[in-house]
Amino acid sequence: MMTCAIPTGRLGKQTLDLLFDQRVTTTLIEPGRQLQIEDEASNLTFLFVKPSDVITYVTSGLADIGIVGSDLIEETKADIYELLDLNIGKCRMIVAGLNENAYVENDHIVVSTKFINTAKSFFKTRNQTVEIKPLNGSVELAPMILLSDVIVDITETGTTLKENGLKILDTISDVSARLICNQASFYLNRKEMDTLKERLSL
Amino acid sequence: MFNEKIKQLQVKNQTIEALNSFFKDNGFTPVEPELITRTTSFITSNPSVSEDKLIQLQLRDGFSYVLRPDITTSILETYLPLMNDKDQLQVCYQASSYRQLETGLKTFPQYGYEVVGQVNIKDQLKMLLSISEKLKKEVIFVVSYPSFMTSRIPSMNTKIKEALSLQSTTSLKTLLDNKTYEGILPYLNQKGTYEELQDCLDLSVLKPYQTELNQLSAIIDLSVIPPYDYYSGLYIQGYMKGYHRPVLFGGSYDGRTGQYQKQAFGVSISLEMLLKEFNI
Repeated sequence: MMTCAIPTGRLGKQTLDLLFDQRVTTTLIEPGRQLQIEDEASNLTFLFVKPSDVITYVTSGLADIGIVGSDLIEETKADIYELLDLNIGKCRMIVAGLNENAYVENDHIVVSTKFINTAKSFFKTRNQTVEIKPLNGSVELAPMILLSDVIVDITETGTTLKENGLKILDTISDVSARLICNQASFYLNRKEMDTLKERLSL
Repeated sequence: MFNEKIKQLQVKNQTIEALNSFFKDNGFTPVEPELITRTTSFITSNPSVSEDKLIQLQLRDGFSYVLRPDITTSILETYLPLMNDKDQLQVCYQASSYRQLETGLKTFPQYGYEVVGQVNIKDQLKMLLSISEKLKKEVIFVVSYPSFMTSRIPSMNTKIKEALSLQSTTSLKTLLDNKTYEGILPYLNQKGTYEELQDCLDLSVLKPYQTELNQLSAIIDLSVIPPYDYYSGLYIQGYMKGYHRPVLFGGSYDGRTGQYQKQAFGVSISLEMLLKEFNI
């Protein structure tokens, strides 16, 4: 039996719907307050974890597979394999600010974000040095209170950005949910991995 | 607690003695690799290893050093410049390598061996078979050939290498031109034994070792990219049930020793696994 780390929240719900639609599970799994559900029919044990913890569960081998946004794969550069783009949880990694002045003109830029590595590597490609102000939430506030020139964050519709007076200045990457696996599990459970990949590819 | 610690130490010593004895019987000499290595030397042979992960030391001789991030570089620096044309180096070691992670210092205790001079790959594969026979559990060997994949991607850069390490077809599709992407796709999608793949993939680089690879029941996965840049020829990883990382990895690194007209092959094995699974 393989173990699958499912992110809690909206992406988790979309994932469970997809697993049911693609007949990976025979019933629609509804976690409620349970954090671990064994589904004998699909031969999978589901662990419901914080989205940012999915990669930790997979790299440490506590889960064989997991569902996670490509933003977190890019940020952590973890030793995992990405099996499939699930085409759900779509959004964009963007740079936003009150205006484009600092973004366009400055050689040195102050950035608020929780995606520290992604921001560093993006501004490196623009030959801009960067000072990161790490924030875990309400990132949109940072330019308004002059904590930073811009923010790097994910957005689906851009509504929250607009409501806080921010403009999208650039798109770093398109983001979507990916099926990932532990590298050792990939070779140790090759047939199960192939079957799962095949079902979800449809 | 104390007695448990002493017991662990005794098991470790016994296992290392047994390993040294096994390798001595196969013509290897146990060595103690240097703890520090020149930063420039390591970075030159491993350009894609992030400097953030190295533990750097600035010494009074004016040079910058790193606490050995891998053992091979350390051994080569010591012995390679001393070797004459026909000299053959066959050494084994028990040592740790060191990396800086976000959580702090990470040590990787390992047992390994290196062969520098004339290398017969078939013999090296037989050696791996002998090692696996000394273990209590089955090892699943995964075999690749990094230079085969890199030769198919003329525009190779860090981004592409990262996408390849993830085996991410989604990212590779956006990073590569259509012809290159279509050319490597079968190698990403198909993994199996030599016999399973020989009719659908070009396995010419592995053909000379077909018999030995079959004896190892090796899974061929030509898309695997090694953690160190100097591995260019045959590259092997070993996996075992109950372990979430490779329990061994290694292979040919002739490119690293080519300036001395030497061939080279080395393997690093997880000491944690050996302490549990090696039949003393």
